[in-house]
Amino acid sequence: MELYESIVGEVAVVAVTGRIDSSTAPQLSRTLAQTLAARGARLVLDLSATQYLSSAGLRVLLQVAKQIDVAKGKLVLHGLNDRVSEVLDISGFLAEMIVCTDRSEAIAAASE
Amino acid sequence: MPSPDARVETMELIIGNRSEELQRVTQAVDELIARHRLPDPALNMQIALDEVLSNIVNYAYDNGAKHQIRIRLSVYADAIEAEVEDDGPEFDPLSAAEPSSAHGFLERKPGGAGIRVVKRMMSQVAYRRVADCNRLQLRIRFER
Repeated sequence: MELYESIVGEVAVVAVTGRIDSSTAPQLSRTLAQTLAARGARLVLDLSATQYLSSAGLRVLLQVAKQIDVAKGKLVLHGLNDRVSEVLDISGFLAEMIVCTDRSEAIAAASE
Repeated sequence: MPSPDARVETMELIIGNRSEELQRVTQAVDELIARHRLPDPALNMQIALDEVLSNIVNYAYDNGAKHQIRIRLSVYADAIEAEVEDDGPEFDPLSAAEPSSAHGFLERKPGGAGIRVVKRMMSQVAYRRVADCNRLQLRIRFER
């Protein structure tokens, strides 16, 4: 897993490439916690290069969603492949998340 | 023509009950997928094994002792199968309670949804208690 962070206006965009599983989830969790602390709570998670996400990834998402909720920020997901989308759907996460297919649309949604 | 049930390859791994060991399993599944050019659904085995093995490593043992977990991976003409065996206390993950959706999303406890993901993404799952071990079978059937 590799993480790429960029800043667009008030929004932090973190792109995740590769796999989110129990081996990589701790690194994702640490990075996102730092991003939220440093940049505020407007976050786009770009998953367009994420191969799959296991329940270890769901735990990170839930934890980040809670932090962002407390900070009254916004979390937007972008670029889900079918496999990531299926895991989010089965676990009940998909219905609770803001998901955009387009990157600029995702950034706009996180800015609102 | 070979029967679809014919086993193409079987690989067995023994890992310790530590999270760092899980990557060896991920690698082995990757190798099988590549070597036999398994179609896309086979990759779901990675998601299921990550869930099942991290549960065993994190929750099956409370005495801090070293344990071995045995993973047997089999490739068939039309399926990939994993059999996971641990010597922890009897635990059938398939009959464990699923998280209730009565609470709001943000009030959820982490975890719990994982086993539902496993059940839904596998073509077949089975649990048996065998000789003081938990044996879980996961199978994904695919079309070539």
